Amino acid sequence: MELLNNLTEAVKKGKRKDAEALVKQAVEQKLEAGTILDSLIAAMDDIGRRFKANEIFVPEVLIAARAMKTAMEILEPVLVDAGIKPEYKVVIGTVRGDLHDIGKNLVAMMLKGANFEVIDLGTDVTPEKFVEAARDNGANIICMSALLTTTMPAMKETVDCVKSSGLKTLTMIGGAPVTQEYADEIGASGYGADAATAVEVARSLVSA
Amino acid sequence: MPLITFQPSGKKTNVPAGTNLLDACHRAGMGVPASCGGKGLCGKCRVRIVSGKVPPHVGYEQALSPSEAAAGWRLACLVSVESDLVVDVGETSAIRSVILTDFGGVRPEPDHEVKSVPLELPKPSLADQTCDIGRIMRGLGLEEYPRCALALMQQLARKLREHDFRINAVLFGNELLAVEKFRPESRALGLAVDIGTTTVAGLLFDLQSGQALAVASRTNPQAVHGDDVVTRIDYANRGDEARKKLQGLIVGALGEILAETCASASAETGEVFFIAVGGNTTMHHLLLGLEPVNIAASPYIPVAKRGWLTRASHVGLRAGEGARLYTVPNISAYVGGDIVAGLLAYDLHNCDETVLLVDVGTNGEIALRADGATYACSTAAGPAFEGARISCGMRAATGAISVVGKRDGKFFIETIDDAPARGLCGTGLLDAVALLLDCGLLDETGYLLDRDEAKDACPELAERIIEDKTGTAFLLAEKSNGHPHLALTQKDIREFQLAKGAVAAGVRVLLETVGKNTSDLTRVCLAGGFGSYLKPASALRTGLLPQGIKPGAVEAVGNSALAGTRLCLLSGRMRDEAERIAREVKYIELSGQLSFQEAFTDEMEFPV
Ligand code: B12
Ligand code: FES
Repeated sequence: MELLNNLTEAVKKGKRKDAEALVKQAVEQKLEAGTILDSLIAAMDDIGRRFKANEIFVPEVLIAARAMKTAMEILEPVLVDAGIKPEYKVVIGTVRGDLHDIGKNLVAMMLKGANFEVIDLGTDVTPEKFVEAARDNGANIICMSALLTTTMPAMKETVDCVKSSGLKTLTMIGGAPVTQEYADEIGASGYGADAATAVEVARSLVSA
Repeated sequence: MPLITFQPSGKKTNVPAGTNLLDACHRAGMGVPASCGGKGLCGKCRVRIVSGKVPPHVGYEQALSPSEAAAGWRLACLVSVESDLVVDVGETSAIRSVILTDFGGVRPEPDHEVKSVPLELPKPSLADQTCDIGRIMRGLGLEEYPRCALALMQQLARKLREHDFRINAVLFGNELLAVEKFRPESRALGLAVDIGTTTVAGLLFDLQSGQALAVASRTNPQAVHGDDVVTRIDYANRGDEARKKLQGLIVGALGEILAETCASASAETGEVFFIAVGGNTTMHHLLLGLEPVNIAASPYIPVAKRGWLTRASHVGLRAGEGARLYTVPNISAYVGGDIVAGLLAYDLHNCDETVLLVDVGTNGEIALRADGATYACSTAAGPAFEGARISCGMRAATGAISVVGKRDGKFFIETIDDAPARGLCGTGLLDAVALLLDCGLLDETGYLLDRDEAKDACPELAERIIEDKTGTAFLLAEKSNGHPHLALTQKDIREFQLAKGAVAAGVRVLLETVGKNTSDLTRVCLAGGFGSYLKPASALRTGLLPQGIKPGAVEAVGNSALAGTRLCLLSGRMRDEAERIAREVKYIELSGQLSFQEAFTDEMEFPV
């Protein structure tokens, strides 16, 4: 379908105006909402893959994500009408004491782009707040970001807090100083080295 | 106990089985770099096992190729010593540091606050029953007792008589620091020290004449516990013992610098009565033994910001009797005394122009003077300019590629001390990226062309585009005797973009805060080692400095932190001025500022 291919391309290139016009067109032509959504997801998948391979960088991902967001704003009511809603929910935030959020925002956007419902708690999020938000929203995964070696321990606290709360919510962690070993050590369910991997890991966590 | 022999020095040491090899290297005084503090994350602690048994390399895979691992290369921090080993740690070489003794800027005017006064006092008699300290007071021509610590007072009776009332009274302002043997030629010396996260540099002064006598520098020995301040704070947080260890390391380096400068000036360390220290807030805390824990996390609270005057002996530093230690005031948790000293040294705090002071270290600290006010921020560029996080990165030491360029259409590199290339330091990195941009091998998004694309864009250099273990890379130096080839990878360029984007964004946000443009800047002062050696043209080409800055406005000011600290050493008025600067500078917190994020995203890209 040419229209949808163009839409995918427009999002990949971060052309917000084009993406907007093309989604509108697709909706007017009464294309199936789910199919339109798939073409957007395809764009973000491609962005994620190339970001992971270092072919493109943060600014391009942000620009693409912005186009994606514009397109979604138009598509969302249509999806609601069609009864299509994201199957899985995540809460995401930067841990207590840490205010770095560019990486976390990227992960949030990519997860949205992969059709997760994302509840963003912002930065400096306490363990209790993570747990509370996960419980209130019935989230499947709690995603935590930390960029400082000194704030990594807050991830462990949050993981412990989830466990003692009795919730079955999964936990996924990431951020430049974080490693798979650290995730294993603190008993987090998953780790992602970058925003594209975050999507892969999130998908495999919820389908496991 | 296993015996370790280090090559090339031949030094031998016994260690208990199970000792971590990196720890063993450091204990034996081998300067093996350890950017991540021994966590197995940075790959900088590479050493080669020449003989002896070690387990295969596991963990951080990109750090070593299978062939390197087979050739005996290991990450020292991941090796536990179980049996005798011969380990090649490579040449450990001194780091290039800028210690210019003919600083420009404000000229010091010594106020002779610290002095050693020879006194031949009349002996007491029934006709002159003046008390001991009163006698010194009279000898000095004072109306009041000089201030005097109780500990000194307790020894006064003995000291005066021991020296038969012929003494030298050492004074700091109106305080009596020491009573010494009569030495009419005795000098009062002082040491000004800049404690950088990476390098420590000291200058010895005659406090009377204000003349610099000698200079010395050391790698900051705390670096074995991490390259950046947060990793060190993390280490200090392990407990009192760890914090004391960091304090001991830096005090040890100060002691060495003191001894070395004194030796080259044919002076005694006992003649040094005043030591002034400038550094970032974390270095300041670690020297004084203050708990740095709250600096690291939001809301970033230091224990103390004001300048501090204490005794050198209180931190365990041995100098002249009663010697005082002064620390330059800090502005905030991440804008420290080094920036205060920089502003002081060039009188930027009082000037009417629109001026920027940038110290591009791990913590890119930036100060802006505009419309009669001064602002500062810190941008956490990261250690890329100091070699960390760059695959072939290293500090600016012997063998580092420090210049990269094209001459008569031919690619060339220059290394520090003209030694065989061992790695790439910050200035070389900056040049390399500028060259790639100029040749069209790198586009404005930071994408490095592959070999085929390169052939069209720049046939002369296309040959140097290679496929490395992580993808496309640009070859800087071919493989040579045992050293793998050196190449700048696509991933390295991404790290560079983060670092330079953060600095440029910091500059832009500061300018926006006061409603100025880059073109309004009449001077851009680059401070610190990296700032002093980098090519301004490369800084502008790569956008390390945001677009619009006039090339002529950029100047290197050398070690401005040391320049300012020496002013504080020589004059109380300057210490007051430093205090005023620290109080008046408006600190701009970038965390959570949307405008920073926007600027950062923009500035990650390269100027077209
Ligand atoms: C930008 C930046 C800032 C900005 C932050 C702006 C913002 N809104 O985020 C500002 C200037 C405010 C800042 C402040 C500070 N920073 Co800062 N900062 C950086 C910098 C330059 C880049 C970080 C970044 O955004 N990277 C780009 C993003 C896209 O990458 P990322 O975050 O790693 O995210 C990716 C992955 O990690 C992963 N990921 C991230 N989160 C998650 C979560 C999950 C669940 C998963 C699966 C994956 C995942 O996916 C992302 C996309 O691929 C780094 C240095 C560097 N060169 O990396 C320092 C750095 C992180 N900062 C550092 C420091 C020390 C600070 C300060 C404490 C001090 C200072 N001022 O210098 C303050 C305090 C802030 C605080 N408490 O949070 C240090 C940390 C050192 C250490 N050992 O911990 C660094 C490494 C620089 C350094 N070496 O000195 N900083
Ligand atoms: S990898 Fe060994 S010190 Fe960083």
